[in-house]
Amino acid sequence: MKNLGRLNILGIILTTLTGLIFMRMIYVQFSNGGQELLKEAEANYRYEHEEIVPTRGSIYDRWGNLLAGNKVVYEVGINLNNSERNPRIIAKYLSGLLNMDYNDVYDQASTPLKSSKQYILLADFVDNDTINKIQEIKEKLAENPDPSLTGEADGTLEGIEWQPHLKREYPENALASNVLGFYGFLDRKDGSAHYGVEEEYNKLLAGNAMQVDIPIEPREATEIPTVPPGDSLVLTIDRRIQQSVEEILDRAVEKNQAISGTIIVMDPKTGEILAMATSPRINPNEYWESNMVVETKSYNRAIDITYEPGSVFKVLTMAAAMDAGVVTPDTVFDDTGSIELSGYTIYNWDRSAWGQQTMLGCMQHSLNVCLTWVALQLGSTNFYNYMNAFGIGQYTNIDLAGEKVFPLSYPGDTGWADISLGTNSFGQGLAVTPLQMVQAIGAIANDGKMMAPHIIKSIIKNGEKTDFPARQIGQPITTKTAHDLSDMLAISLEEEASSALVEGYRVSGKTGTAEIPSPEGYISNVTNASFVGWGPTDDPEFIVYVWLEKPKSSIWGSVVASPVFSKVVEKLVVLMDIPPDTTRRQLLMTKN
Amino acid sequence: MANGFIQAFQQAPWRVQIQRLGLILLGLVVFGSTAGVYLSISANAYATGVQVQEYDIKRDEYQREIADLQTQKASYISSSNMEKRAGELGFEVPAQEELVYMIVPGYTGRQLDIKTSPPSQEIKPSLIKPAFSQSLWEYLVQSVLLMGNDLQSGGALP
Repeated sequence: MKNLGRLNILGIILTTLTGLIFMRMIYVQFSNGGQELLKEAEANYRYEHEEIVPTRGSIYDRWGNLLAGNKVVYEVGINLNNSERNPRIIAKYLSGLLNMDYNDVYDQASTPLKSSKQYILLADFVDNDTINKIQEIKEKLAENPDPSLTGEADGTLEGIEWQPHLKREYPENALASNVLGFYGFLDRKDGSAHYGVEEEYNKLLAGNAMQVDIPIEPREATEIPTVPPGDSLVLTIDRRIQQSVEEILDRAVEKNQAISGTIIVMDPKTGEILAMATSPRINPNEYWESNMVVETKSYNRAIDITYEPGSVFKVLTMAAAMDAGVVTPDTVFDDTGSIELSGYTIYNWDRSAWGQQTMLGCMQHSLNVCLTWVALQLGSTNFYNYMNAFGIGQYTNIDLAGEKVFPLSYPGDTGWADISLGTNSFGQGLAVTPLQMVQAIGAIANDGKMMAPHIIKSIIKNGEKTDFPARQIGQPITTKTAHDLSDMLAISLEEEASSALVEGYRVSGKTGTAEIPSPEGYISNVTNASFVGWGPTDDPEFIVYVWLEKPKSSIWGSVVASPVFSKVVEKLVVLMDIPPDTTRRQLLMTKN
Repeated sequence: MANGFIQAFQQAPWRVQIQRLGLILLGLVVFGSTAGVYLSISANAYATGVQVQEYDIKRDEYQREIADLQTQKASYISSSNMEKRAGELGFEVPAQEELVYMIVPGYTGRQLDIKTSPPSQEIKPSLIKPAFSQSLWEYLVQSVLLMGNDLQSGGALP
């Protein structure tokens, strides 16, 4: 054998060692442990798991005016990994801009880096203007640092970072806030919707979040799916009508020193709510500032407060009686000022006798005694069947969160007594929401057909609009009854020279002045003053319901609520392009 | 005689060395070219991937900006602002008796005016085969693993 030589032996040894190392590498790579390590590394470091939350859907009025949208705001934070940060400089420049205490900012900026804490949120919901100012200062200091103290980092805003995100914004502020509800945007993680349309349609507005794994390595980058925004809603509300009605309501509440007020405007032919105004109401952009719900136990008095409506309810009693044929507009009643029923005595509002009155006269003078007699002629079975058909004591199923109802007591129920038929006939001893009254009386304004009141006109999903058609939910009375009663109530207003009348337009309506029940019995020095009216009488295009709660200037609906109706209608006819009656008939004749 | 032919001559040692050197250099050139092509493609793939990531970020930015601008526009034309501006310009709400009504043939009344985003498109499946986005090392590892599986299941070696 040849002598290999020391160098060759060394070469063989090194080559063998290298080969062994190489084989070991391959073994480790393909071993079970190695494969598992690879999978773990892939799971933890190959992808970034993200949840893509869609933009919350917008809410528009019926003409496309934005009532609820989204606005870019910023969270400002400190990157603790940045060792160049100067807490003194950060506190000096940012405390004023972010409206924060200097010491708070200084303490936060001085937080040492920990493995568990690498970022500190300094402020959130910072607007774009403030961010621009911070950016400007940061750039200026980067070029000309603020003189720093000995041992400090350079006097710059190093370490300050900001990230944009969206927050819910209501560009019209308090307008229609009782209808919209609000979204609790301050809680970015668990924010939720409350009241109104925001809560009722929260799932649609929120959309569907998507979980995606985004490759960290650029070589593996693929297109991240576009998550469609949440569905947008088009309401039946008309912004201009809503604004006008809210102005009129606010003035009326203030002038009459009422504790609250509600006005509803509905299209009786379709059930579309054109305006739903309540006072008080909140500004949803500052929802946390208001104690209204706690103090008043209500967010939207049009649907979540029940009250004894008083004489406006007589419209339904008379409608039922005329439809059943027990009375006609010309039926005469001899009013003696009182009527005995089941051991109780029912009086008129002024405790006087009005003598011979037709049904028109009974409604015109709002005679409790006459209406009690009418209800007795109708009989309790018929009366309550009609009230059931009108939806009294039942949910309207309006598409708003928070609707309340007070069930109607029927003969045989625990809360019902014989006297109930009498008191119910003139709207006492039962409780309704303003919307229930609008739904019911809307039938009289619409040829006897009762339409479902609704707030949503259309839904826009991923760029496509779906309309919601009008829905008839009943026909409690015939068309003839509806027309006869509408005429009767128009004449009633005309003969009274009511303050509800509107020049150039024939309207029908009824006032209401309801006593308020208390544990000690009914109190009559404060009332719920209401008015319900619709017009034009021969072809109604609107029904308006007004409710002022406990007005101090006068207790009477005819004094405080009727003029409000008139002011609302004066605006409505202009905003809805409804010509005066004579002009309308002339235009119709020309068209035909 | 049948057992072999002995070469009567052989190449000069320096030729043999040059041939060996040439083969080694050829190997190095092939390796270098492969490495160069691989690096070039990887670099392009990375650069494109970074662009894709940037575009994704930009898309999110634009979506936020669109929502923000829509809301800003709504603020500018809010009912209170419009009323104020109308007042400043001298406009007044007309009294009912000042209005003149007329029928305009073909006019169907005011229409809903909303500009919505176009529907989001479905992501089409990628046309790029997975093999084209694998690194060389991953490809080799996968091939070895597959071979190992084949052997275990009794498959024949190629």
